[in-house]
Amino acid sequence: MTHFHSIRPWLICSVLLSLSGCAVLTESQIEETNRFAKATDGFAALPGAVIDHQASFEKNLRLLEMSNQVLPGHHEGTEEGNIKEARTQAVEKVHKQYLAAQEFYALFKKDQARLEQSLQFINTYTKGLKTLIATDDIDELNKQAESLGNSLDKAVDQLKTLGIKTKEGTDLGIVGSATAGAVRGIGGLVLSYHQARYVKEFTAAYHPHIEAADKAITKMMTTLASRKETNDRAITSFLQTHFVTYHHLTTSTVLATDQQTQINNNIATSAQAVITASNALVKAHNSLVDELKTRHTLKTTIETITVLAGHVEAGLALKQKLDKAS
Amino acid sequence: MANTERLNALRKVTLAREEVGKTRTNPGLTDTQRNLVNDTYTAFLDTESTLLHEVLQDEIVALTSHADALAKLASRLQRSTESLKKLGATVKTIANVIGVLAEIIAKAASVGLL
Repeated sequence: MTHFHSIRPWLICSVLLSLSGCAVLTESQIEETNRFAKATDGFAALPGAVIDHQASFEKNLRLLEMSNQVLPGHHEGTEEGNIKEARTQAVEKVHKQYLAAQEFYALFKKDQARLEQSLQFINTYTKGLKTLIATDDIDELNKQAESLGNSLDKAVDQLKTLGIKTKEGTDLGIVGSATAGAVRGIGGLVLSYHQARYVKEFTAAYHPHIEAADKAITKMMTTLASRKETNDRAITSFLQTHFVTYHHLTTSTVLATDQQTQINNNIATSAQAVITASNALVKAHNSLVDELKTRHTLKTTIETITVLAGHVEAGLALKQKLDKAS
Repeated sequence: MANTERLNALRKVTLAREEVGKTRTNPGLTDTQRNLVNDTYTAFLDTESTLLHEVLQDEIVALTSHADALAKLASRLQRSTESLKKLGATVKTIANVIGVLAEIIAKAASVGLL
């Protein structure tokens, strides 16, 4: 027993020393991981919002085009029977066009939903990352160790007052703070060690998926943004056709056309914002993975995360503005 | 059809639709003629939108091909966060037990049991 008591402090010390050599995250690494997770908040909803605008554009263009249909008349010398048939066909055509407008809207809305669903992993990942780096447990441990140390010291004081010593005559004075320190030290280090292991493991494991998502998002958004001019020409073509057909333009037609131009502008602007934010996300994540590889204190904040935060914030502000306008 | 081919097809259909679009604004067309051109225009428009939808869909399918790996990763992440929480709780429990023991010793000593 005496032998055990004499080696106990060394045992505690050696456990603490061996654990302190483990790769735990530095405070600045934890802060930057947290900043990355926060900066990414809301990103997953941005690409879907662009497809939402595209869905509206597709529907509205067909609804506008419907108004260019003319019921066949008598003035071209057509036979009475043929006119009747032509009119019946025109009525059916208008109905078909109306249905097509709804169908294309539904088709693109479905794309939006599937895209948002497939990007959900980013939210799962950042939420998990936030939980992993939450220091609540370690902070709580500090508080508990402090109160434990106080309560042990109080007990030891009482024992001392009563003149009680252990059978081996060990100095009771070190018991309280030493035990509290050991619980805090070992407990905290074990937690920090696992925290670092998990954070490194998951940031590395998620990186290829983030890269793949960026590639797909960039392709989709580039395609949508590149259609700005042809969409503008489609709007102009509608307006001019309407004018030559009816020889005048109503205020409501002009206003509806203007709204369609706004939607087209929104597609291009928001698609460009998503490309920038997505590229910034990959760069920031790459920097984070690199910075977490070794245990070191970061001298400055990771610049690419600051850039990411700015772009996602701008993308979300734009989305909010366009949501309000529509 | 590969996505590159689809994009090429989309460009060609867009150009064709734009050409038809120019034709239909000709003031010399009769209503019947304009209706016919409008029908052609609408048909191109529908083909164009279908191709655009397919281009988007190809990329979404590429993204969803990671779904299985991501589901496994999400489940591992969930297990890891839970295990970290459990570990924290265990350490807290140990700390509590030691605290209670200290109180018992103090009380036992104060009533002369030690």
